[in-house]
Amino acid sequence: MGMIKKILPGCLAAALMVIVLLGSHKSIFANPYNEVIKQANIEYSSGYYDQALELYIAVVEQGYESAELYYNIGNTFFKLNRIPESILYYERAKRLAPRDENIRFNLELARTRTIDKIESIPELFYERWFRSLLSIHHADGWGKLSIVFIFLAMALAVVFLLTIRRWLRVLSFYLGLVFIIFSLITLAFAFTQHYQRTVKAEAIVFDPTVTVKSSPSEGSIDLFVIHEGTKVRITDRVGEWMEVRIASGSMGWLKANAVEKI
Amino acid sequence: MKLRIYKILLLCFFLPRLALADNISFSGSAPAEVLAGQQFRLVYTVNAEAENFTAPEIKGFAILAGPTQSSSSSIQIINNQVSRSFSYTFTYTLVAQQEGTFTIPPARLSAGGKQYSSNAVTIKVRPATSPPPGTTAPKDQQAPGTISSKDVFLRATVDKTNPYQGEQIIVTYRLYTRIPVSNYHIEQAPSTTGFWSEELSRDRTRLLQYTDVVDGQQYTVAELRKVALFPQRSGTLRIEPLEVEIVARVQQQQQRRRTGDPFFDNFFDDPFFGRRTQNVQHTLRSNALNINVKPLPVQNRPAQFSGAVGDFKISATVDKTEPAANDPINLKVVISGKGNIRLIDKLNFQFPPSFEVYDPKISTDVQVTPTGVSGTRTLEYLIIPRSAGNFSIKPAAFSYFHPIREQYITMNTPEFNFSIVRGEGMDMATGIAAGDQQAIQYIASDIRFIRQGPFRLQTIGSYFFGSVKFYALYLSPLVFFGLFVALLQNHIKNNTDIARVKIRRATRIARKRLKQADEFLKLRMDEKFFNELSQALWGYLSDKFNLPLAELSLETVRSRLENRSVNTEIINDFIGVLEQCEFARFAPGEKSQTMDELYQRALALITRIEKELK
Repeated sequence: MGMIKKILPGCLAAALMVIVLLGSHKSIFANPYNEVIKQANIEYSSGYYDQALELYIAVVEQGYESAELYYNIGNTFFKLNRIPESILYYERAKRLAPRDENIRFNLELARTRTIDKIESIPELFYERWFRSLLSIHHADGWGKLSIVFIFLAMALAVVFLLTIRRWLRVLSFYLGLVFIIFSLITLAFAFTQHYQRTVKAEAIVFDPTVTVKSSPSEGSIDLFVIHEGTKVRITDRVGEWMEVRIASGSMGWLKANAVEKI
Repeated sequence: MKLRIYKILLLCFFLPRLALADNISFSGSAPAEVLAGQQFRLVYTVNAEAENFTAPEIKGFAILAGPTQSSSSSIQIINNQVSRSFSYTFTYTLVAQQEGTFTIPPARLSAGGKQYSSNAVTIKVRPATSPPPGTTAPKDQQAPGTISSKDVFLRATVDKTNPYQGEQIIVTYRLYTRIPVSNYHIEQAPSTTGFWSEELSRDRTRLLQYTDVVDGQQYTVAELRKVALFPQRSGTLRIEPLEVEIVARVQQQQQRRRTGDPFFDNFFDDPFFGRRTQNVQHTLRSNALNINVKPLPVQNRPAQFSGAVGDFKISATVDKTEPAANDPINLKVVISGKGNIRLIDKLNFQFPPSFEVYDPKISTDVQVTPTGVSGTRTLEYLIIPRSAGNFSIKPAAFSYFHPIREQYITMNTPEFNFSIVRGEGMDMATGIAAGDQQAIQYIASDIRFIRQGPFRLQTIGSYFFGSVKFYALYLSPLVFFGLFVALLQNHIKNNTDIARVKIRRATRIARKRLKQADEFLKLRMDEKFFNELSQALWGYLSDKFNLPLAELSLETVRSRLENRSVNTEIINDFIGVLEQCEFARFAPGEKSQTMDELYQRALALITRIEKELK
């Protein structure tokens, strides 16, 4: 029994350290550029969208991002009636905060202002569930959860080793096992989300009208026409041509400079 | 009686205003240049009732007629202001007799008891035959029956060649003629692409006529057409020439053989006889005009600006502010001023959603004057408030560009507040017939508002997941756990080592203590002997079974020894010794016998237990 008392404070201190580390991550509220954003918000509220946009973009150009900043930029572009740009920034905001309701609402509204109405392939119910489960958190959120689970699992393992009570040993063993499984699942989710935001290439069409070709050359057959503001997924790249897939599943080639990567 | 007082009052009212018309001007006018032998008129005008007109001394001219006197008067009532104007003219018809420059000295008259004198009039008389300076001799030898461009021509002039887009410019087409023109007909109105035009000379039957001298030649000038143009786009715009067909009376000279008799020839050269006039049709083309239109400045252009250029005033009124629900309200907006009034669009009023608003009735009243287009544009909105409550129509802004001040001017209508009372048979809150529930009216859809800071700004691409920090954190519990297990193992190992030593040393310590007890026995120190003996035995058990002293009791001793399958006889004996020992420690009386015996038993027991445990 004496041994437990000796080791436990050490474990608690370690756990506390982890919590502090997790919490301190990217807590840069005191960034000086928040003053610039504040000024931009005032300009936006007064209807000077050009000035507001300039200030917001200046912060992004300094190498900073946040879901809210991208959301505000999207709003400003929307007010300036530059719908493709506003969709681009809403999509960028959504990547950082996939569950944010305001971003989703405004993105939907901006999409109604585009020309193309694309029927997306209907998903099976479990696909839909999985997708919505996945989008509860972004990669960092899932990553943090998996860290918390692995800590809990290890804490239970310690309990398992120290206790002499039978029921506590059984409980901590199975609960520990469950937490390890949880941690692995959330880690997998984090990887999936991380892949989506870094590797998976999506883009917004910026040219007013783009003809999608059957192969990466000017002379090839025209397949279909898409317009500005439409989201495409980049599946391949040859020189200045990109192979893209639109929500309906149709695929084809277009010039890389006609779109802007999210 | 009453009536008379009234009349006096009325007189008092008018008199000062009549006196105001006292600003008397007296002037004389005549053409600046005349030809010798030409008839012309010298006119003196005074704008008051005058008397004692003293004619000037007219030298160098022959008076054919005059002075003929004529007068006119008019009374105008504007905003209860009565103004009365008189105009007296004294006209002479003169003919120049010799060339040179003559000055007619001022004429005099008296009006209202004061003496006034006019300006002096200077007239230059040219010789009838000599050509005017700077021009070639007119070709009098032209073919008879034709009209030269010197005789009659059409000229287009514009008051501004560099206007702003939408600014009014006035184009005047003047007919200059030296020959009588009996009729004219505008053949083709010029195409004014890029302009919105407004005809200013509506009354074609009365043309403004005067004389003017062009290149030394005197012409009769008639303003055929005057048009206000409003350029609709910037850049260089061309006004195509105007084509006018005129019927001119041309003198036709008959080809006659000359008799050589000067009198005869002269006689038949007389216009009355020899020259016949003939009506000749002729088409005139004016010059084309190029207008360089400036675009309206982009800087400071208000959002609601819709192209009005000029000088305007705005007023807005409503006919009632506290109507019952469903009782129509009239909102009347009047924009008046000078400029392209017809192009003024309806104002963007923000009506409350429960107001039913119809498209405004727009009426335009344009006054065309020779100085341009002015007028009023009236927008009448019919509004039906559908529910009771307090509502307001926020001010609507009207912006126009002032071309002279070169800036945009914005004027607002006043804010109108309405308190709509419930109509009869209306529901309490809504003013709508009871029992009719309404779904929420969505007026428009808009994006949600921006987020206010401060934000968690992070450097772009710096993701927590996938970073070294993440992996360190993820693996740290495993490392902690490993450390913990290692620590635990070490601790257990240490503990077992201590136990082993204790077991090894248990017998030795016990014998040592027993030896000490033996010494106390020899010294007859009873208490110390028992104490040492019991401690030797308990200590032995504690070390042997790795039990803390606190946990030792006769019961635990028995169970431990039984666990190690020690003979029951030995256990009983051991416990017996312990019990006797405890008893003897606290009981009084002779103990020497038992002491020795106990010592021997304890020594034997430890040896036997040692044997049993091996």
